[in-house]
Amino acid sequence: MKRTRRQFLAAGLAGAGAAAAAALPVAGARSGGSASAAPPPAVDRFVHRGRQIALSHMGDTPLLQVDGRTMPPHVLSSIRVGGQLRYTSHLLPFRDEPDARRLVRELIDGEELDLFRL
Amino acid sequence: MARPSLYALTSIQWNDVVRALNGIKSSGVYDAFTRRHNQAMMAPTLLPGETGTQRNVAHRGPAFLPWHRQGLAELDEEMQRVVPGVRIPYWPWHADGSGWRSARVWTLVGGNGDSRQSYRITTGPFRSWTSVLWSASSGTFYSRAGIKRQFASSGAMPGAPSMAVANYDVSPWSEGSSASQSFRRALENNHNTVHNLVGGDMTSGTSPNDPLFWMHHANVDRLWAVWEERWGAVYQPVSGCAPGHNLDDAMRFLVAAAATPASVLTPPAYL
Repeated sequence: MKRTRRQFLAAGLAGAGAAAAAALPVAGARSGGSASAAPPPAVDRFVHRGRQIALSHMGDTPLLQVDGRTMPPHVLSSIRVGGQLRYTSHLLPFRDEPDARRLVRELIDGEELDLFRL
Repeated sequence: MARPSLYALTSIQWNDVVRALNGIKSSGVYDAFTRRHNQAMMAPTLLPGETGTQRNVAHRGPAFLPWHRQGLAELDEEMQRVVPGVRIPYWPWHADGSGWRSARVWTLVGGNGDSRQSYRITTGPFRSWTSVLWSASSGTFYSRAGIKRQFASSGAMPGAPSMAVANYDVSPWSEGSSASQSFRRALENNHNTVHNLVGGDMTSGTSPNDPLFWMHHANVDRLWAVWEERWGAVYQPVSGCAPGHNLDDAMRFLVAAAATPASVLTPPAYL
């Protein structure tokens, strides 16, 4: 059974109490999960320009929180082109990045420059 | 009247361009172009179940070139209400190469932003403009004083794409199309590089805040016109792509609701 984005955010990000625990994938942690179900994804946490970033994935779909606030999907999404996962944002639409962290840092830089608001 | 090169304008002709742009900026007409571009950017345009693309109304798909050609025509029309006969000139960025940071364009439109002022431009005839920007969380526009440019510290302006590519576009009609087989894809790639090299407001969905956007796109359109001279006013696909990107589909977020790729295939004249 796949979880919806909302369920994922509630269980995996918004409700995660301990950063250390959330930083590691925990196989089979979901109640009712089958043996073949994918484990909850890891949360990549880092700080850029003083902003607290939590970045995780549900399959290929990136899920981004900035200072505890969940970003709309168009702020960070991904496409798979030729087998390679690339990250995109409607806020910085003229580039694709293979590195999600790099694009997130550029989004924070863009907001700092007041090119848009996240 | 043919669309002129920015580098071939007399000072009188350039002053007419500035007067027309300032006229539609002060009336609010110009900012509506910026909003429509951002709205087009925010509107995914996919077939049911299609993945592997972030194609939207005006980018990452076949309608990229027709949508912006129609936008240029609509901008010309508004500018001509202020100064009859004027047209937005094209910036031949493909000729500026690695020396682009000191190219003549910046003496006309203002230069790089001032790092002490958050990269706001402080020179040129548009230095007092305001910008309309997008808030992702609220889903609304807001305004900010000034235009921003933050030149990339490395990288050269791209050249013109190969005119030897015979296909206007190829499946999957997106950023996944091969740049060696799709003229549209190759030209859109080069266009993306220009946006990112100039930096600042040119990197975002509200990039028309910088009037250089239109001079950039006029050159993109001119390069398409050169390709059309060789291969004819042909367009792919006729059908099979998401709505808005097929030959006779209506293109959204333009002034002309009836504009289609087919309606703009005849290239405008260029000097």
